[in-house]
Amino acid sequence: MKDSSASDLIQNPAAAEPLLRVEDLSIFFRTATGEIQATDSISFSVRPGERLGIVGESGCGKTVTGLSLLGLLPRFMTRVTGKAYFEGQDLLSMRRARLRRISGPRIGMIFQEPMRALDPVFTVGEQISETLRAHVKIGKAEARARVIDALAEVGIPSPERRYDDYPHSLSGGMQQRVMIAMALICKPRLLIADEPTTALDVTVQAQIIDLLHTISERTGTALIFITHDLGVVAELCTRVVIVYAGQIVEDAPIERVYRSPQHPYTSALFRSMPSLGVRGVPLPSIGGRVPSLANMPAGCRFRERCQYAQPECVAKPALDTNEQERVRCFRAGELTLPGAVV
Amino acid sequence: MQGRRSLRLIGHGLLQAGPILVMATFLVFALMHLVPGDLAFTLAGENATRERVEEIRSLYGLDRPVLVQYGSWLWKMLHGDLSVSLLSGEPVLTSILHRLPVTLLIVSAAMALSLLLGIPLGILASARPRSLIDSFVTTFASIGIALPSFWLAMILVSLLALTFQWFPVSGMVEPKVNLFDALYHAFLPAVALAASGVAEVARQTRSALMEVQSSQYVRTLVAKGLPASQIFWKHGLKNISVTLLTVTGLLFNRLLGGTVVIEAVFAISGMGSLVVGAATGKDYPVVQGVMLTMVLIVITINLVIEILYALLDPRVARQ
Amino acid sequence: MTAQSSKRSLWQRRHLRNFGLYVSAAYLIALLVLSVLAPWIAPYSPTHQDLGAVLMPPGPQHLLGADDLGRDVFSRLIFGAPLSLFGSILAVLVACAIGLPFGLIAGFSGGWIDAVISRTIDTMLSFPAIVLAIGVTGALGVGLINSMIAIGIVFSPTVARLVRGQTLIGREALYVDAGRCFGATNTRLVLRHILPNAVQPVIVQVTLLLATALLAEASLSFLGLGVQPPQPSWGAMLSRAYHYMEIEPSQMYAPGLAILMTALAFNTLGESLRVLLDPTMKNR
Repeated sequence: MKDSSASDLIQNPAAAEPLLRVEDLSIFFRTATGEIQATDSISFSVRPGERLGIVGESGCGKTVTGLSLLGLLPRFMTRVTGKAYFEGQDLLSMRRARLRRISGPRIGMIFQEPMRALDPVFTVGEQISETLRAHVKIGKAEARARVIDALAEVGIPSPERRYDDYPHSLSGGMQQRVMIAMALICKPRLLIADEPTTALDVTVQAQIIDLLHTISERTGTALIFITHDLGVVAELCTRVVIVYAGQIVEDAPIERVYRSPQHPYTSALFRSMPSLGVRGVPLPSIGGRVPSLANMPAGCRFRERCQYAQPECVAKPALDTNEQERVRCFRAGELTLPGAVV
Repeated sequence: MQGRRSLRLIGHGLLQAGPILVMATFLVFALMHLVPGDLAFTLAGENATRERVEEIRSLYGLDRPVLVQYGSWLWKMLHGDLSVSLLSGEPVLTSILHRLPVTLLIVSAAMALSLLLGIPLGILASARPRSLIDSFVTTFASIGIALPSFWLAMILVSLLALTFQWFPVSGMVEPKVNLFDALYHAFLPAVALAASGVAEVARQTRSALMEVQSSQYVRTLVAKGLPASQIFWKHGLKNISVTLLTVTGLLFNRLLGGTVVIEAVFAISGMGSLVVGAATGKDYPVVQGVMLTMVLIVITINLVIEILYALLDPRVARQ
Repeated sequence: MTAQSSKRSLWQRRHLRNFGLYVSAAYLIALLVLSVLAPWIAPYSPTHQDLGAVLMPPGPQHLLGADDLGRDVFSRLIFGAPLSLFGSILAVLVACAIGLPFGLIAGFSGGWIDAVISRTIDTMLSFPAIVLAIGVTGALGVGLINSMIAIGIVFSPTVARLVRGQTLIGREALYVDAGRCFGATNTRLVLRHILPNAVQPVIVQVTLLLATALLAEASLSFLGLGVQPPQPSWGAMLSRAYHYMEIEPSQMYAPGLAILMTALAFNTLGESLRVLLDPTMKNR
């Protein structure tokens, strides 16, 4: 794919067929006391070159959603229903052997804690090289050269020397760069990043976000960026899906969400974000607590914490079917909610 | 580069083992002073005259300060003089060197059995958690750890040696005389000794592999599309090798102790029967000699394991 | 796999584990009762010799047969229980009496005191346990009490190491810092805050050590260093059975089985307690 067409698609995402289309994805955990539902009919699409943020509090189901796409949830303890079409094939019903030919070469993934995501007893170079050699017929020496190039590309200084380093001797930021190099070594069309900056220092966070942005722009790799941080999403993503208590509550292009959020939860998220310019004002937090997965209220799940709640909210609000902008709220359109303070 | 690193590791290991070695010699020496009453009386025997007791006292230096006694004892030990047996008058070093090969043969055979059976069993069990084979291995491991080895030895002798006469009931052939025959004689003792070893190795292998399987780096390996076989044979095994090394070290210590009882069942004259006889007969120099030899062997093995450990796990080498 | 079956297997697993706990606890309580009531339960005195029944195989008169001196094996097995249990408990008490204070001191004071105690622990653990126990028994003199004190001494570094680790964890914990700010003395800190925290893992370790001590007692008695004749500990009974193995092999089964089952019960109890006391292990 040429760069020009990639940026075309970003300008006009609706024009392209989705690269990934997730439909009604529900994830269930098996526990000693029975099954509990972690996500409820999650549906979203990612188009080629698009950068999608999935935002929500911890435990809302965003991480398991990412993991389920590549079959990474522990099989004995979880059950997944729904479809996830990637280039027309359903990832969720796919057999392991076929999924293996997609995860790696077509879809890359990076995780929250790079230190624990890398095998401690192999050098970083070896770990990237084996990824390449698992999917591409290539000699060891040639693989090494390509790995060194890849390390250089993600901004690792003196990559020839770092090749033979073990993960523990690198800093957290460098480890995450290694993870990115590894995830991208086979030039996948989609990169899933599961809170890749949460475990890192703030300055390093910014560097990693920059790196992901640059790579996505340059290669046209689509990105699913899972995070709890709306601020990061604003810098990086073109579109955002807000998840609350296992359900999507809002899905829209990034500027629209920032300018005028339609769901009270999204708006509340913005207000609880530390922002520039309003120093000295205590940061409002969202009152109440996220309902527990085992004990979900029947109607709108945000109802009890929502200052705009009305009697009708005891019924379950549907997510609009409008492809471009979706909201799960009865009062969407009627409310004018504050967005990001600019 | 690699060579220099190994040298540094060996040096570091020796530095660690040194104090333990010194303290071990002191413990062995101090053991004599646990003997209740006047040591000279005990050493001289029950019907000794007063003169004989005093003679013994000055011969063993028991009239001098303890640290001086320790110093001269250690000096003698360092020159290979482990004193003589109070009962037979034979130099202790001679008896030990005579009996060591047999004991080491049994321990090595038991060690080999433990690892060769225990590792595959642990792998099988972890491959299908909570399956039939996993339950079997787990149950076997629990029993193996609670099983008195000498009782198992008796059952083996009763069944395989006395009833079916497949194996010799007792005795041993020196390895240097006929290694094959020695191994044949060592087989039942080694099996009896290895039962708990197999159990322990299987258990540790299983739990280490389960831990690896649920680790985040294995999730990464799956996410990057590595075949399951490569994840297991390359990453799984290298990651549990550290655990296995630790287990091997602890197991060696335990097997070395275990032979003492097993040798009694098979009437094998190794280190075990030597120390048991000496302890019963209050032949302290022999007890000390055996203990010193065994602790020396264990410390050496631990040193080797420590070095291998650092070579296998890059995180250790740094410290 | 359907949701239904996985639910059932989880249910089964939880109850299977508790089942092991119940059975081993019930077995040990029964054994304890048996030990106390031995004189009233056993059909014969453990030293009563029926010379007409020498090396008799199991039968109606002697349930498990009679030994080389015509003594009833079943009665000796019952009278062996209190000796074997007492021996194991004594050994573990000695181990705790030595290990607890040294572990606490090492963990709490740190510095060179910790270094010396820790090296001593390492050194003692470098000796094969049974050989060290034989050496100490040899010095103290043979007999049940001495051999069990020896085993206690040999086990003490295990306890000390565990307590030291727990103390270090406890010492780092915030509430200890808080306690220190309010002017609590060191002794008070140790007794009120650190010790209670170390108790749970120590209970688990003690239960597991009971099994090891039982096996060690059996070994030493088998070797003739523990219980002295005519007292009947299980290990000593095996020693007798060993000498007449060619004539009457059936005598070795009951004492061995008793050792195996009791050790198994202690281990199962210990592992169950570990799971019960450690919330992070609940779903394993």
